[in-house]
Amino acid sequence: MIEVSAVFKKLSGTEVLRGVSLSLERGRFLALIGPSGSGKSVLLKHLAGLIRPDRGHVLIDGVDVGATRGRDLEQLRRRFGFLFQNGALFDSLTSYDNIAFPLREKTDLEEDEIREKVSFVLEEVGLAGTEDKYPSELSGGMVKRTALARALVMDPEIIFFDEPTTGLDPIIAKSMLDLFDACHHRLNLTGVIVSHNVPDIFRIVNRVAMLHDGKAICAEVRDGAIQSDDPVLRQFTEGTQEGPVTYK
Amino acid sequence: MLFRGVTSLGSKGVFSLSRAGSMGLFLCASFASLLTPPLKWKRVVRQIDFIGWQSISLICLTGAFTGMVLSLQGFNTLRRVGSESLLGPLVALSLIRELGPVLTALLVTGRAGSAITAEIAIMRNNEQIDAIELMGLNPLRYLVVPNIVASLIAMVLLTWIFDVVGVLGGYVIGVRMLGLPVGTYFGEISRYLEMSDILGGTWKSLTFGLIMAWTCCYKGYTTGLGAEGAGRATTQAVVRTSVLILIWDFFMTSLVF
Repeated sequence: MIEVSAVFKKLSGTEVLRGVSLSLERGRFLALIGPSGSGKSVLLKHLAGLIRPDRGHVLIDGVDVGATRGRDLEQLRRRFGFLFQNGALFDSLTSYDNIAFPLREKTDLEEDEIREKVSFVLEEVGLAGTEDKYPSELSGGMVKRTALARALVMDPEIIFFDEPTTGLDPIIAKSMLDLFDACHHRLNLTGVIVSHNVPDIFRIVNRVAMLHDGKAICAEVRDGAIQSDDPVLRQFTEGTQEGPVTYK
Repeated sequence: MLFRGVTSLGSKGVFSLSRAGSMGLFLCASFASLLTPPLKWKRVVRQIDFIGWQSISLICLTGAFTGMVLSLQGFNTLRRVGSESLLGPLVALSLIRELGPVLTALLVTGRAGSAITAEIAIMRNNEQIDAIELMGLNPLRYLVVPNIVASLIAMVLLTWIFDVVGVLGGYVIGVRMLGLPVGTYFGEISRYLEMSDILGGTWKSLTFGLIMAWTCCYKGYTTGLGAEGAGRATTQAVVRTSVLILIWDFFMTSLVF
């Protein structure tokens, strides 16, 4: 479903991605891991069409995201949900209005149908009763769950998560991962998760791609364990200083 | 060393041209969004309230004192040449043709323009603009177009208010304090003030409103990262808008009057 083929990208004079290639089948979750500054969020934004590659292709069901413009890109994006690192909720809108926003703008649903959908997704993420709260009144975990509700309300096929558990305490982080896992299986979503939460993230993904030196090292994940002997991948996921890479 | 100096000048020039081009493209894209329905009227009304209604007390205060100081200075100057009776037209024409549009635009830029830049810059830094884009929506339609429409409407109305309050301020000093007959003050205004003066001032305020919304939205949209980036964008927005208004005022005055 998702295919990244030899993507290169330079930002502010630095080549962040140097020929990244990976693939992900429909209905599976991929974890994007790697050291800070390795280009994980940059790659994620390529998948969502927010950034275009200098060279290479990002294909979603055969459609080149980087080459798509205008209405075609809008149509493609309707299939996506995106959970930003800090939620990206609109400060001047309540929780309810944040989640209802894409429904009001992109669909012809009546207000009572919108209310039903919003209530349903709030229930799904465990936030029933918080409709009237503004983002400033929500805790970190609640902001992310509200943002997840907004990402899910348009029934996406593919969902992108940009460091969804960063800044959350371990208990809330675990509950978030459980929530993503539940959504994955209940809604049969395809997902890409950028995460520093290693190795906990491996509980809920099928595949992992580690960005190293501008390229991706990929491996399957089964029962929470990486199926690979790649020394770079092993060193990073085990968190040791001994190995082929020197981390400062 | 000379070669380095020329190269540096050249690259600064290219950079400035590139920025100007980027601003131009931003304006074209905004107009394209403006001309394609639907217009977000709720947001337009909200911005008219913010830019216009909430600036009224500032405009009235400044307009009143501008009119008063014009009247004071004007009376003393006209008395030297024995033409005190022309105080009314001096105050009215100065305000309506020049000071009203320019001072209103500068004040609104400082108050509302800076806030617009800061709001959009924070939305950019918090990825809220990316979120709008990823919903398959056009961020310009939500963030820029309402500000342009509201700014055009509010700037004209505020300028008219500034002019009226300024003329009344001039009346308070010229007539009440300095003893000019009230009939002379207003009578000479109606004799010398023409519709073309009012229209010219109105055209100026319309273009100033466009400059303010365009520049402030652009700077917020293209802000650098973090609080420093947003702060710099806000300062640059106010400075750049103010300078553009003053430069454009010269060209408008040459064209219109």
